[in-house]
Amino acid sequence: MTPSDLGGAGPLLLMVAGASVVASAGAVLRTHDRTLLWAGIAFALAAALCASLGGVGGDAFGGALRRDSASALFSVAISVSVAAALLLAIDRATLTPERAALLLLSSSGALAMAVAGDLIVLLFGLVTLTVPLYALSGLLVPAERTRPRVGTILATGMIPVLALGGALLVFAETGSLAVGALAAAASPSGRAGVAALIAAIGAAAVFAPFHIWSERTYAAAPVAVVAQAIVVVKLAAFAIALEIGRAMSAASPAAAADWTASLAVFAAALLAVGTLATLREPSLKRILTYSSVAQTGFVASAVAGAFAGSPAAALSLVVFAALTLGACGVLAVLPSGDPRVDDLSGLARSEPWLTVGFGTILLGLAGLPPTAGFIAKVAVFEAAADAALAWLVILGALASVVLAIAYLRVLRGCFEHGRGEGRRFGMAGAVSATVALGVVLAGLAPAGLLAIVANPRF
Amino acid sequence: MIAGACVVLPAVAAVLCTVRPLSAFVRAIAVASALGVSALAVGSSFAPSSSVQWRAAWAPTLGMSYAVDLDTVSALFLALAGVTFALGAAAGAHVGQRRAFFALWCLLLAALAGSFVARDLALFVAFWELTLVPVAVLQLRWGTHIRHRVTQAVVAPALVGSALLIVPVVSLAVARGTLDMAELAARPVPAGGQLLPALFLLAAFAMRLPLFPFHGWLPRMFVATPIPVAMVVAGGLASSAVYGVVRISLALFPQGMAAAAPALAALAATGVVYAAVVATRQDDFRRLIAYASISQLSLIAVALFAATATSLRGAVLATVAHGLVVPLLLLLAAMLARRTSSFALSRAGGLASSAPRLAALTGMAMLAAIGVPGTSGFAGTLLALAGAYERFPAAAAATGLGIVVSAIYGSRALARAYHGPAQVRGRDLAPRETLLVAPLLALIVLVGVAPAIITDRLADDDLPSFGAAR
Repeated sequence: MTPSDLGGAGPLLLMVAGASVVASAGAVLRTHDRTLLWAGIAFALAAALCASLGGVGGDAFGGALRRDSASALFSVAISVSVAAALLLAIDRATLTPERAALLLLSSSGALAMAVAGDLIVLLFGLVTLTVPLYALSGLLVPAERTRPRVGTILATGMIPVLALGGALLVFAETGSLAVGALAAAASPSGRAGVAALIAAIGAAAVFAPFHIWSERTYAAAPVAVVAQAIVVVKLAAFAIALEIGRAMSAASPAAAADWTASLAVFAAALLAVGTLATLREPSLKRILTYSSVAQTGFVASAVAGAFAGSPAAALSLVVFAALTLGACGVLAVLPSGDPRVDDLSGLARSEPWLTVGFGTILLGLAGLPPTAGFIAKVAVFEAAADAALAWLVILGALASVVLAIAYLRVLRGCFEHGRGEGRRFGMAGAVSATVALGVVLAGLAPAGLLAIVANPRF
Repeated sequence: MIAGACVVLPAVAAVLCTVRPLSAFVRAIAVASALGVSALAVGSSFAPSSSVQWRAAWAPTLGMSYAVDLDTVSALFLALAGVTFALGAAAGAHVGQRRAFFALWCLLLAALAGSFVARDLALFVAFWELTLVPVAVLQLRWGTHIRHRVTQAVVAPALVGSALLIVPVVSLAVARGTLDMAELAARPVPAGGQLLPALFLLAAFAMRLPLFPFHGWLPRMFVATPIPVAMVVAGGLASSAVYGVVRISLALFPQGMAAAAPALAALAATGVVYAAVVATRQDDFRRLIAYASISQLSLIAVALFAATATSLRGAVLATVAHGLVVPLLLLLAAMLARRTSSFALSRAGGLASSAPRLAALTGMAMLAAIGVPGTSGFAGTLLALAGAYERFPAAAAATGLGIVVSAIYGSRALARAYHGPAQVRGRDLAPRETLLVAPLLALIVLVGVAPAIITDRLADDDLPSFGAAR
């Protein structure tokens, strides 16, 4: 292995090692559950460090793993996100070591997708990302005595099967496994393969793994799992989608125009569905899930504007990831396993500063100043306006109004009169506070953040 | 520098208000910072322009920059807003959770000051949207018992307006690469493409002004929020909407506004009469004041859409008058309510016999609201109507009718609350209450007797008018 191989595979290996240690050390060393969680966090942060220090350079393993600033950015974002998600579980020890290991394993798949330079790594990443989350969903509820529904089986298999089938069709035509080869697929079967692969990635970006979550799974899922499922999956899917976009635009610039229209429609659909679904929802976890669908719509608007990937898409992804983790932090402060809007009552009185932080995070998610969410919203709209998608800008603006109203409903819950026992600020509150502060600072002085996302090789 | 200080001073005051050791002084801090903003705004017209303005980079790749400056109109409105905020803070002697209340109060002033000093469109939009946050929280936490039902009705239109505000801003950023207002005014958009952006911008300003038929939120809000908050919403937010129309819509999209002006003026004229008529039927004093405010603001809107040199001067003057009269009326309504335990005019009655000074001051305030000569409203209304008549005679005539109706609601309110058989008795004005209303009354009389101190400072090129005839 050359140094560049090590740099490329380092984060991935560290995450897998972390998963193994967290899963098995408990049986051997008889340590406390919390210690193992901290070990997992340490491994995740080590992966982030490895990605930021050694993540840029020549391609690793003969091009199978990329090492450019885009992959480094997403690798760091994914690693830090999973570390934050595990931090959310520390206070109440809501994750057993096995489940934490599954989260780390899923993140290793995410990292693989972020650095994928060829289709094998992409497929490996996609499967490793989604299957542990499906397994977690099954573990969260007690084994049901009924047979699994056909729909659930189909839904579980849909994403890997689509991806594998698409990759095979492309390989059959082009004979190359590189991600860039997707642009060379010209025959109908090749194009169908490309479409299937992109559909699988799109499905992963939008609703994996929630399409197989039942009501009981939602109620039983710890906030850390919800955070992982929302943030890490989307980061990984968009990382590879942006790379595919870049590769395909570089190969044939004319094809970019074809994609703009369909991506714009896709973005519009996501915005509409995501925003409207949040309005009447009482469960906070579901509100976050649906609003993340809407945020995916915003990112897709930026990608529609500049199909070759864009700094606006990367900026809005990073900001969205941070804000969602902060919001999950507030959820983790509440004692209930399935917090509803009513459970927030009395928060303004008992934890005023946490309410200020929560309000700031919700402001950021709605794209209101002075947060980085406002900067991201302006960047996304400018990217869409640049591609003459004025209707999408108007739709996005109105969607952010609906989101703001939904978040106002949540914030209003904090001001209701209530007793509110059992709330612990702890690590989860610290995560929220850090996110709230960071998001305001980034909103006032975004130059550093804009420089980071302008760098990636998009 | 001075323009930036107008925003930084209340922001720092907001932070100071949260500090626990200073909790006994938070009201004084709020009053002092508001008066400081007023002083800075007045002082900026005597300082060289290089010490007033300030520029820094914000997000150059997106065309956004921190550019702030104060011109005559914004200095005037900001000084007025500062006085209103100071009086509102002084009136808030009995609020609970003082630190949070006054911190939000100072934050609201900072955001409002920002919308007056911003010279970059993105910065303007940022401060515009930011003003919603303290208003919403102040209503949610300190509002009356109907606040929960009303919050969404108040916040949603404002949010829709600011969402539509972003659309032309973004397209300007993409088309011109910069959002600096001076640079944008130097390279105007071609006349054919101005109508749509002008309408989008107007949607935002019309929601906040408010313009008929988007006025529904104002009466609801006056009833749901505490009186100090209602004072600053009436005084400050409305004048920021007027400023936005003058400084952004008329300056950047003159031909678009000219094309839409006839329809808009008709809408505004309808609003003047409609709101005045509805005001005559109100029993709740706050709702009456709300509709009176909408009527006056619609008159200002008619003058804005006519956009002649005279009508714009009248609009500015009338906005100053509105910003003095409506907070004064709200303060007097609060004093009435303290004596009769309700804002309903029908519960009062014959109060003049026991509180003659209060009755006299309320009478003077009502006369000022109608726009009797000698009060601040007269000069503004006269100029506004005269200027509007040059372009839209029918709208101006209808507006004049609305002023006649305003005399009806004014005299009705006075008669029901203070005259007639004595149903309630109440103390007369306490010295503290006199101190609260005296500054506003003095300013009303001053502007009424000598309006030239304002109009003389408004040079022709301060206001983007485009002539009497097209």
